[in-house]
Amino acid sequence: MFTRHASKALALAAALLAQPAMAASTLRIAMTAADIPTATGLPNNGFEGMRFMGYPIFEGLVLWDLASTDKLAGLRPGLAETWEQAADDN
Amino acid sequence: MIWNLDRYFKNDSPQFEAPASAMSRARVPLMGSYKKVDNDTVAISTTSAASYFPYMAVYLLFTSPTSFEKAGKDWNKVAGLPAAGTGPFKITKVVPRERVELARNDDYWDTAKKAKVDNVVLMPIPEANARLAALRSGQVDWIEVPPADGIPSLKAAGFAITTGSYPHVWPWFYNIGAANSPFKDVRVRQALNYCVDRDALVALLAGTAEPSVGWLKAGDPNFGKPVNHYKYDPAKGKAMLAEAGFTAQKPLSFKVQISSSGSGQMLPMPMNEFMQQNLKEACGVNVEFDVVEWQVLLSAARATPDAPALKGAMALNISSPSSDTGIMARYFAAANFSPNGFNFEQWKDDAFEGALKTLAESTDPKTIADATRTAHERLVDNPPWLYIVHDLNPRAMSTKVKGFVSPQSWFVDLTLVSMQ
Repeated sequence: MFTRHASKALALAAALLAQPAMAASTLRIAMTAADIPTATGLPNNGFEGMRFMGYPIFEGLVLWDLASTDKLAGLRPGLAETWEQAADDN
Repeated sequence: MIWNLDRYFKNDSPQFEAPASAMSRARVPLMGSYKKVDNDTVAISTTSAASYFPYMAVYLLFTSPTSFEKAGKDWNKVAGLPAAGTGPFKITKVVPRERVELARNDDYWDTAKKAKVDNVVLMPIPEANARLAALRSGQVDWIEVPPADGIPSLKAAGFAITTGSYPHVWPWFYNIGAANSPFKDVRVRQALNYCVDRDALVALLAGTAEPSVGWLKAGDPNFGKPVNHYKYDPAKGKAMLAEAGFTAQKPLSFKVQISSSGSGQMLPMPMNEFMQQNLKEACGVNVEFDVVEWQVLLSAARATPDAPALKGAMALNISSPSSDTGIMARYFAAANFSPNGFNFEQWKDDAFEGALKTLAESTDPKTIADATRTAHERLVDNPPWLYIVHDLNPRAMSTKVKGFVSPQSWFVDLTLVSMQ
């Protein structure tokens, strides 16, 4: 079971597309890919695609916890606030 | 939510996106059915018990139905809009082959994780020396995978080199399923694991990798106690090859499909040239290469063992994550043979299958850990891959880049980064 808070955020993100980007602090990254990973929300080009054109823009029910260096990255809530195995389904 | 799941898993839905569906089905092979329970809850049923299901669900990304409607229900046009998601950044511009521009999503729902930079520009620069030049000339602030021989001069010039151990393997996948494959014989698969001089390869990479002697790192608590301890032992490798019928008179010869660049591929050309020379000198093995684009190689991994796309290749050099048991199941379960799943090798091991079933059905951490160790021992002793190195994820950055964290993952958290 996944509990969500997705739909509101999706609508909001769509509404914001019209705003122009302001030139201020810009981080420029050179990827190893030969082309831009696909931009429809599930990028190709393997996990480098997911690294740069996936998670920064699009999210899943659960997300990676990438804030520390000292332990294997685990999961954290994303569009789902909580998840659990259904009690009646083992 | 259901709309996005239908996009991947319901072939006759208006929003079905074939390439995204193929990737998602292979990454989430256990998806059974899903239904709305109430406005805030969705129930997903898997086709078999899977304690690791959240580690598969993490690869299903959600996109806005509004973008799809605006693009006239044509995914090819959605990319140009561009598409909207819920993440900390939004795409503002896409120039194929050249660049993508992102801007901070100021209304990001997770207010604690708003991005610090205003914009991000992503550029595809497949050639390592060209990335180095772009960094040194100030065209970019951050490069993935600098060329190993450029690292000392980058450091001397004041650039930051970041590395970090993370769950990743740079292997060759054996094509076990092909009709004439020499790798049906486990002795041949083991033998090559004794022929590789991993320390010399690590030295060639200026220490930006560590030797791989299994799917997991040797120090991983779930590595287990396999019978085979792979190390550079050409005499043992040659003896095992001879037992399997390959000698100086009748040498083992095969083709490997490799990419010239790509995600996690590190520095594939010099590394594979090293492998070719190493296997020849150490064990008399003849290797030839078929060099293709990364995306072509990824598609080859989904081909059946004798498919024309493989052009007779008996191995593929595809770097891969080794982060969790969900990934382990995806790559090695017999249920996931190509062309539908990631088990390109068509490797099947009964003891591994038993251990995988145990860990999938359990919710007890100790049972899961014990079964993971058993499963991993089989991956070492009956190797589906030639284990070569674990990448250390080297990046080079200008000192203007602050706050970067090198996580134990393929992915990075761009929201933590600021520019000074």
